[in-house]
Amino acid sequence: MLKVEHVKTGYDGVPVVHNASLQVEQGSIVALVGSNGSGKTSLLRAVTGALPIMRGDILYKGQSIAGVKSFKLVEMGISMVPEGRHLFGKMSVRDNLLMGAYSVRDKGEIEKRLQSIYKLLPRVEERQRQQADTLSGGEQQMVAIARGLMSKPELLILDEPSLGLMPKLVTEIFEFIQRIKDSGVTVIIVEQNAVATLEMSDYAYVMQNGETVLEGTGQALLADEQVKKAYLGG
Amino acid sequence: MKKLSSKRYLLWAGILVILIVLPLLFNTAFSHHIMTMMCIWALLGMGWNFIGGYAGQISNGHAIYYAFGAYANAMLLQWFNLSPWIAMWVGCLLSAGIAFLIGKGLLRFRGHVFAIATMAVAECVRLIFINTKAVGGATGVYIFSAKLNPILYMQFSSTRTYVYLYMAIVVCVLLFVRWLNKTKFCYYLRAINGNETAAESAGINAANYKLLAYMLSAVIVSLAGSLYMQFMLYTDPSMILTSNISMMIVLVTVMGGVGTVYGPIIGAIVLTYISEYTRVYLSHYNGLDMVIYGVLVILIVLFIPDGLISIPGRIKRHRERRHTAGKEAPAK
Amino acid sequence: MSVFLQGLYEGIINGSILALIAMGIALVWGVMNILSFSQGEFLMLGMFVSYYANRLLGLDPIVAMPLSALVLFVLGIIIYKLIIARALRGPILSQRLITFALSMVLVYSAQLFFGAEYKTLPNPVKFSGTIDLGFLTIAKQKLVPFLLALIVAGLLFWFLRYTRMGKAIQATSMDRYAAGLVGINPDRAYTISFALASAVAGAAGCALTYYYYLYPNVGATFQLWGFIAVAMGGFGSITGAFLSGLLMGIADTLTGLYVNTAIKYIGVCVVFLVAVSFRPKGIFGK
Repeated sequence: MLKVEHVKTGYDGVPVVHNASLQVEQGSIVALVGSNGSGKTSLLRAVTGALPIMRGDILYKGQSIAGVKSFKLVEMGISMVPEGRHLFGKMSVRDNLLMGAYSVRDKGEIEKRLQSIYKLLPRVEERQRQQADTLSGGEQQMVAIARGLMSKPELLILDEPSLGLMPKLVTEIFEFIQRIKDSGVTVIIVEQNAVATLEMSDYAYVMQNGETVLEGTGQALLADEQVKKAYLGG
Repeated sequence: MKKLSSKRYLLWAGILVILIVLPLLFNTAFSHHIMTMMCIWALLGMGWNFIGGYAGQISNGHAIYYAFGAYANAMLLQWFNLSPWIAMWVGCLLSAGIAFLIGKGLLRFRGHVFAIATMAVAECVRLIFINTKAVGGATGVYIFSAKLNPILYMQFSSTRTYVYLYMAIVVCVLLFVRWLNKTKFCYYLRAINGNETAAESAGINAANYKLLAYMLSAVIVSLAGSLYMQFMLYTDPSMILTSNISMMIVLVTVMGGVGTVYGPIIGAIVLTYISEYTRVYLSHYNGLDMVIYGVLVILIVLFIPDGLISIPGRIKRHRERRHTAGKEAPAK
Repeated sequence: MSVFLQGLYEGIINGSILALIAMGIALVWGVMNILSFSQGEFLMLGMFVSYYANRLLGLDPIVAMPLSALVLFVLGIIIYKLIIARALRGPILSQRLITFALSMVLVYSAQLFFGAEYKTLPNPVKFSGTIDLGFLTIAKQKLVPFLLALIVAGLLFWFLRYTRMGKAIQATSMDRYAAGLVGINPDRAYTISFALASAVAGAAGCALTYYYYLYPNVGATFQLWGFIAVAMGGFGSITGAFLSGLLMGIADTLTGLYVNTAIKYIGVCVVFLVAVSFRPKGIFGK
């Protein structure tokens, strides 16, 4: 569904990703792991049009989306939940979710999607009138992912969903992600928390110094010696 | 100390020759007027550059110090018969003092709020001047040119003398700025401008340095004001204390190249040229000159955001890029 | 006492126009983080629309107001697309200078095309005369623009809070990156914000022609006071700007009863500086 081919990208002409390639099959969960600064987030930003593609290409369903701005991608079915959540802090939870469905015109459809999200996440429904930046970290993350789902994407990209969260919450979030995949959405997840991510993924890529250096199924990488030493604590 | 290459010597000698020859070549009072104004705006730019360029705090109210410098000359002459050579420095001192007070009060603000605060204060000062009869109120002040000793009182019959004198002063200040540029003072300012918290954690007292930069900028701008007064022999609040003047001081520096040593001078030259010529040739069309001026400013700032001084660098990079374009192998 | 009350009332009326300008500045500041020096000029242009509508078509400002708003809206879009959008890609300092240079171009173009003399509406206006309430004298000529100003403010609030585009603008001002990610076109949000601010100023100008002289530089005072009102009221907060504007109008008129212009202005400045010292993000700021 999504193909990243030998992409080079960076900021102000300085490349931080030199050669990254990955492939995502429809309906799967693909993980992108790597240490801080390996270029994972920058690669995602390149995919969503926030950073220029200096070399290489990005194909979505066979069509090049290199340089396409993020707001257009939403209409194409790609939704990204950025690192650090980026909720509209002063808006209520409910308004944040409604914003997620901005690309949808039909008010009835929006309401329907809202209700189905609420069914999935009753805790979010409880807090719907609350101002978004008064929620706890875990709840904010749930809202951020829920917001990303409101546009009914075919491809959901999650950037560091577990960042700064307690382990118990991390498990909850990952369970939620699993349910999302089960509902038919293709998921790309970028994480530093390698273990939990690899356990859940169908396929995974490892990034180091701006390049995709290793790939394989989640299970295979979990067992891999190199990966174990570098990211899983030996 | 790095030895200047012979090429550099030649460049400076050439510039010196041009400076000497120019007022002789264009020997009209009008040309001299333009050259004098260029010098004054160069000083204004260089002064503002310290707070706006190096320290990164955009003050939109520097007209205050311009006015203090000018009025100091006029009033001290009127009250005490004081020679402008001395009055100049009194004006600078006064400006430094006021800058200390204002800086202490306002430098805690950043960005847009600081800009608005400086504008508000400047407007206050303007209203105070208009309402204070002792400094001439709205009618302004003038310097009476009775039979005074020209050298002692800086009033020359020949406009050319003014040009040479002011050029010399600009060169002196320029050398001072160049020297200062290499000292720790400017280094710290740049650090503060880049990342204030990081600079502070490295032990730099940001507030003090910014205050110092602000005071220094006030002094140089005040000097420009004194020189302006000596040349024009007359001014009033509507000429020297408007927000337009404050913004033009910013403009001169930014158009030339904010934070650079030579930028303000280039900005001053270009801007004075544009404004004076449009004023003379177009002002009988009620306001067209300012329209053209404004449009040109917009175009220059839009398309050359780093200032005119960045043009040579840009051309060089452009040429380099063309050079290496053939060498870079295609991807995949 | 009644002098005070009258002053209070007049202050609110004067403040209402300032409030509209302040809201425009706050909107542009909040969404694009740019200090627009041109709001005063949009006010002036709105006044000119009203003037010519009155002179050439005999229209009352109240009728000319939608026209004024529309003209300024379109002008705002053009200016944004041609100039502001490009300026936003450059350094902040340049952005400010560009809006300043733009205001110069507008003021002197107005002088060029319309002349520098003071103007008032040539054709008599329907609303004239006063309502005497005993403790308060209400001049209809000032009451009408005040009500109109309130309506415009209300419309702006309603737009920002309850319409799809309005919410998109708010979202963009809160987090531009996230706004893009949910499908909002940030550039369109910016364009509409700028054009709205311009239209609001234009409408304000129209209201102002009921009782104010018109000349090319009329916007300058409003501009500076608008800035102060926004800085004091909290940048990014439209409500704060509105309330600040009203407060400043009141403060201005009330102190003007007892004190002359310079001291009055200094007083306001002192209040402003004190307020911002204690609440650097403004009284209602985020």
